[in-house]
Formats: sequence, C-alpha cells, structure tokens
Amino acid sequence: MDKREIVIDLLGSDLGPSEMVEGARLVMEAFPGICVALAGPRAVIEAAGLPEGRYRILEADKTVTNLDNPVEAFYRKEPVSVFLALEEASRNENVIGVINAGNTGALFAGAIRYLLADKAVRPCIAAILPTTQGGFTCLVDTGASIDCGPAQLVEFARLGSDFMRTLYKLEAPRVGLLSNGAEPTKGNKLVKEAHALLAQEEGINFVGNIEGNKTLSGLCDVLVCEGFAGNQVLKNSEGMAVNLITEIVKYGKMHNLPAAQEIVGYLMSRFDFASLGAGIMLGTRKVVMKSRGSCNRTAIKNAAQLIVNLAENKTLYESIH
Amino acid sequence: MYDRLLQLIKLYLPEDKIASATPASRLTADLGMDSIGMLMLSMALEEEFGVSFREPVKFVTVQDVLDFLDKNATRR
Repeated sequence: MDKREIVIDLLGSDLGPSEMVEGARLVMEAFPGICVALAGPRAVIEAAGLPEGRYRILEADKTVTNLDNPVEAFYRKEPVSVFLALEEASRNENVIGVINAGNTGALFAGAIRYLLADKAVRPCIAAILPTTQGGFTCLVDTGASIDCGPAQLVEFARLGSDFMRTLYKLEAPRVGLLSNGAEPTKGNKLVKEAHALLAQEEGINFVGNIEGNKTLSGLCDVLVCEGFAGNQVLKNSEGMAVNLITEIVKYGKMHNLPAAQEIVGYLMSRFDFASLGAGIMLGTRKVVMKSRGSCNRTAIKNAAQLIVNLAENKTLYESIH
Repeated sequence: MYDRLLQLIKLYLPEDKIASATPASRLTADLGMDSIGMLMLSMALEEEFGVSFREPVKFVTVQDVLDFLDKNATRR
C-alpha cells in the first residue's frame, strides 16, 4: 500500500489557508495514491470537506511573518505551522516533501534545522525557468544567500547539477555563471574568482559566463549566481513575462485580433510563473518547495508534481544522504 | 577545544574571513557570520559538544562560544 504523504503548510500565503486547502484537494485528485498532511487551523481544514482518509491535520494557528526573526521563532511555545510541517517531514519516513508559500526565511531556517543533509553544505533555493529552447534552466541561488564567496557558488553548481541530472536525466548538465559579459575576464571579483574555480572543478560541466539577456535562452542547464542577483533575475523574468502578456492582451483587444488570445494562451502555458510551481531547496534530506506568496491552488498541485517526480527517482537524495 | 571549535566556525564563515578568526573576533561584525551561519553553527555545536539551546544563540565573539562550551559541553 502506498503510504506516501506530502505535507502542506497552509499559513502565510497571500490568498490564505482556504486556497491552500483547495490546492491540497487538487493534489489528492491528481495523485490518488498520495495523502496529505495539512499544517494549519483545524476549523479551516474541517470546513473544506476533503476526502476522508486522505488527509491528516497538524494543528497550528501561528505562522512566521515578514516582521518576525525566523530563527527566534523556533523558540516560541505555541506551534508554528511551517516548523510543524518540517518537523513532521524530518521524523516521518512516509513524507516525501513539504510545500510552503509563507516567509522564505522561516522556511529556509526551518529546513536547515530539521532536514539539513550535510552540516558543511549550506542549502540554497533553486528556481526552474522555462527557456526558449523548450527546456528548463535551474537558477541557483534565488535569494537564500545574499552574499556568497566563490567556493559557495561552486557548491551551488554542484547541487544544481545533481538536481538537473536527477530531474531531467541529463548526463552532464551544462553549468553557466551569471556575469556581465561572456568572456572569462568579465565580472566582479566574485564572478572572476568563481569562474576560475568552476573551470577547473571536476564533475562540473562548466560552459562559461552567461549574460543577463541569455538567462532564458537555454545556453545552460544550471545558472549559478549569488542570491541577490538570482532574486533579481527571477523577479525580472517574471515581471517581463507578465508585462509582455499584458501588452499583447491590450493590443489584441484594441485592434480586435482573435489571434492575440491564442498567442497569450501559448505564452501562458510556457511562461506562467504563478502556476510553474515553486522554488526548490537543494541540500536538504527531503524535497522542500517554496511557492510564491501569491501562488494559487494550481501552483500547489504543480509543486506536488515536482515532489512526486523527485521522490520516484531517489538519486539526488541518496547522493546527499 | 579551541581548535575543534575553530574548525566548526570556519565552515560557516565567508571564505575571505576564515584566516582572520581569533578568540577575540566578533562572529558577525568581524567575521561576517549571518543568522543562517549562526543557526548552522549552533546545530553543529549541539552535535559535536552535546549542548542544547533553549533560546536563540546570541554569541558575540568566538571567546563567548568557548566560554559557553566550557560551562555546558557534555562531550569534550
């Protein structure tokens, strides 16, 4: 009997726990063999009428807000949903992953506290970006570590390569380094030093520097940068996609062009960041997904899909155990 | 104990600060350790020295960590 379970933290998202519960319902419909554990307010969960026998409640009414210090929140006496979810993943072998859409710092700190794979390797948060070649690039880090050293970027390259090797069955994922020019001489001190390290690192298929306008071009499978730059790339790409789609919709309406709707539909299927799922933590013992605060129920289901995909091929997690 | 502690601390420091760590160094102000580094250090201390933390770690200097371990370590 399939005992696999996904833990969903209901608190902290912009649309509130009810939308997260609806996401849980979609997960149960999409994956009939998988149950969910819901960390959040009992009343909201029970009012939703979810299928009996498919869910458990991890009762918690509190979360960590952007005004709280995430590490200090560990020491609160009352249950905090994000920590309850991660602790459950840590102690319950049936749990294959955790989904959260709340405070990133709390999730990151909690995942380190409960699910750290290697005490010497600081985890990071990756995002999977669609490319114009039809594939995907793993952007790492997207904001977990704002200031990094060159050796840390090499760690990101290694974690990202393991991830893409597992998820997309790539034998030797191509690793690029975000810079302001393609030549090895371009970049700030960090980038130049990281370039030199990556070029001589065994087991990493380094393809050189990647410029900002090529991040979605499919020139590499893993794009490495420190969290500050990665966060800008992620949000800029998302913002640009939304702006372009909005402009096409406006133009189509203004000139009564039915074809515009078709184009928008295609673009949404390729570049709809809201439903792409979530960022994923690398360097943890189990899959931890960070959905955007604004995520909808579909994004929760898509995050679960990624958890299932990863859980069914354990190479990545066996390799870091 | 100092050598073992220093080895642990170095795991969580920015690379360019590792060589400058001394007992008098301030973990955050001098060595650039951030809150996640401090969290990972506290977990490593629990594992390595058998201590436990009931409240957030607020060490200022490397010497503060040494003093804490002197009083509380159950494994040396």
